[in-house]
Amino acid sequence: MFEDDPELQAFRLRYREFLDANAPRGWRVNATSPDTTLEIQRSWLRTLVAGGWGAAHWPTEYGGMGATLAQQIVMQQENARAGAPAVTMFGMALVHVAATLLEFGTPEQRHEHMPSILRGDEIWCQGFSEPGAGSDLAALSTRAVRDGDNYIINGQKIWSSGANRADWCLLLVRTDPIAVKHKGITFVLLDLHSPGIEIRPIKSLLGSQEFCEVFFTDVVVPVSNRIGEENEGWHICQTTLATERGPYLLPVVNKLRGECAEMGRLAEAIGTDHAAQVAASFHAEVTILSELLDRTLIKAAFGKSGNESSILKVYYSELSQRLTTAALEMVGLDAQLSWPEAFDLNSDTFDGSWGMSHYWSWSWTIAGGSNEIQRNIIGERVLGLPREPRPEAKVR
Amino acid sequence: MGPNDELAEELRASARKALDDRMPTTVLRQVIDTEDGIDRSLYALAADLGWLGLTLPESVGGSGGSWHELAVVLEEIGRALAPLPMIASVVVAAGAVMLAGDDEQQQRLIPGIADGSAIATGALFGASGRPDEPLAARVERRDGSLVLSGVSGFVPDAHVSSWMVVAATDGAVPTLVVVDSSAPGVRIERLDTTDVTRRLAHVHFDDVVIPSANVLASADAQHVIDELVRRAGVAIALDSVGGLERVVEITVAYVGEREQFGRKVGSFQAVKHHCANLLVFSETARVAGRAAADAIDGARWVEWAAIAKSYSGDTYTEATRIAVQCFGGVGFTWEYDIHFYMKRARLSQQLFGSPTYHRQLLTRELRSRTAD
Ligand SMILES: Cc1cc2nc3c(=O)[nH]c(=O)nc-3n(C[C@H](O)[C@H](O)[C@H](O)COP(=O)(O)OP(=O)(O)OC[C@H]3O[C@@H](n4cnc5c(N)ncnc54)[C@H](O)[C@@H]3O)c2cc1C
Repeated sequence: MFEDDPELQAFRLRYREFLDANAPRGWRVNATSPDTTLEIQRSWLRTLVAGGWGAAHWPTEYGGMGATLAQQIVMQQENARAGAPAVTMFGMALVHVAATLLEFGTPEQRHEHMPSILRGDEIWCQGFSEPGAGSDLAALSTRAVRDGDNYIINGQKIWSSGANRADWCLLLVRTDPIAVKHKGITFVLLDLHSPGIEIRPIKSLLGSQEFCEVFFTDVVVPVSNRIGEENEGWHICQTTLATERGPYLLPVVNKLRGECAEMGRLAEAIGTDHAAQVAASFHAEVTILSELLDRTLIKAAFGKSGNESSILKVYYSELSQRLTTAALEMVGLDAQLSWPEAFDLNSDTFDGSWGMSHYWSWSWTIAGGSNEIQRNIIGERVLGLPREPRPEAKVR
Repeated sequence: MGPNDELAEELRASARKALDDRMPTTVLRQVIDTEDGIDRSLYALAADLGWLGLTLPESVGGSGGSWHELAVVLEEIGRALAPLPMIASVVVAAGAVMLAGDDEQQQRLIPGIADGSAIATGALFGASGRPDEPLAARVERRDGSLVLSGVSGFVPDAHVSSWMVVAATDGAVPTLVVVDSSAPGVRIERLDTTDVTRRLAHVHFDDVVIPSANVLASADAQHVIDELVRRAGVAIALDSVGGLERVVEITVAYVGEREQFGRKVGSFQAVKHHCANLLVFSETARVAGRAAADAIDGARWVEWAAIAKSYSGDTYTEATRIAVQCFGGVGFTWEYDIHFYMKRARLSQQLFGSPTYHRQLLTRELRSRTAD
């Protein structure tokens, strides 16, 4: 953990003061559905931005704070302390989209989207996976054909989280069907309000609608919405995905810390040595995880993180799964009851439903490159072990 | 195979067929959306097939069979995720009356359980539904009658019961009484569980008058409650054995079909090893469950019951964790069945005592043995 130096301490107190004056109270009572929660989050995002506390990690020239990593962590801690709403529904826009635009977007693209993201006017989703292209993402086959200044898109995506509420989509399409599979992919920004798009929510194991199928019939996307060059999409999407193993983990790990503290209280109430030991061992692991995250992010800030972030993702996701499993036993049958619908929005602070946290943990072991794939990456790219024999990259 | 095993295998084949026909998961999905969440016609069929009276004596309408056969039925129910109130009615409620009731009570209450005309349950614990916490229901004598008040938490299938066995304190000691579920003062608060294949309720008692004929005469009610926890625990373990077996099958089938990178995903060693681990869990849990069923009333019954309940709870939970992982994105959907097993595993792990609780019982048993 970072120790607060006097400057950081002053920063902390300033933010705390802001939260005390502005953070909505009792908002959970009104967060009764995804739609009301969205409005709560939207208005909180606007308040943060108006107060100069929005988009901590964005550069100042785009309206962000240009905050250091230590400052971002402090803000997460203060958010949790104040019980402020999280802006999870804007997470994709604030993190994935911004990272992609900042590295590969044109000035026009940045100016089109970044201000409206800050205004809370754009919700984004990610359209990478397809029925036939999950772990093997490069096998994607949604087709884009150039027609003058436009691409015409046909095909299907699946598992797009939040597509049913989104305005825009980070989309990967195949532009070259002949090339080796990862060399024929292009990255575009898709306005989900365009004609020819059908979005069908999929009911998840949580009982709610986490993600969607998205179908495209002759959907028109202007070439000006392309990120980078044609057929360069594979390289670009690695940046988008890498955010998931980096900064995106900050609030998530913070939430796990909250859960761990709650487990400590549970163990205290149970009062046995066994419970105390279990809680202590998770405290140890969560503390190690926080330290690992801090160090990995520092390295990332200096451009040296690379594949080591896979270690972080594997460790975080499985620790969360193990910790919540143990908590289910400590709580007992109460934790076997369903949670109210609004809990499904998975805020950044522990909201009291262990079942929700537990089942949600599979989204972290499966999505964004499953843990089996992460272990392959660790084995081959970090440890330099020989690659598994692979079938020849398919020529289409 | 002894004659015992042949009989068991016949029973298994007929149970598998009945449940495959009547409770494929397509039907299960409809049943869980009904108000009561059980299929009464399937319950009637279970009675016709003799499952309900299997271990009950012939004198009260049963067939006097053994737990060796009951185990088969419970495994098949777990495999099919069948929403049948059998453990509550047969193992717990009828079990209590057989262990602690007198002749009149057994003649009055058990035939209805065996023929399926009545469903019963046991409300044996306090508000938290944990056997290691104090009871929250009590009886008092008032104007010559016995009055029950308080609460029993997380009672399985109470919402469809016509009577229940309630554990309540009588002064400092526990006692067992039979309560008519529709008696004045009984309020059944239905709960919404993550495991949609099972239903639980909190049962509130507000000055419920207990006729003296409904007091189960037992010198040591705690002893009976402990025995019911063991039996229900083993029944849950057997349900888990059947569930585990099916989890292995559907997971192996899926990874043997699904292709990525131009290969079946089951051909990747990471996935293959997951599946191998599932089989290790399934086979070891089966040994524990069946050994426990065969050990009933024997010298090692207490030991095996604790082993089976704690081990099956942990392995079913861990196996379904891995299985969902093997399914990838579709494992996170409602549409695929694997999450039903995942959630049933987690409820099974906690019902009738957690693994930690049962390991405590095991420790106690092992200590008492070395003390002998
Ligand atoms: C909650 C959730 C949210 C999601 N949100 C989005 C989203 O917003 N946008 C989006 O585009 N996608 C999203 N996804 C999709 C996610 O990225 C994919 O599910 C994931 O990449 C796995 O692909 P798959 O589902 O096709 O599984 P498969 O690739 O079919 O994997 C099945 C099993 O095989 C294993 N496996 C596959 N290949 C190998 C290998 N080479 N070596 C070892 N094991 C292997 C996997 O690890 C897994 O256990 C989401 C998924 C979930 C669960």
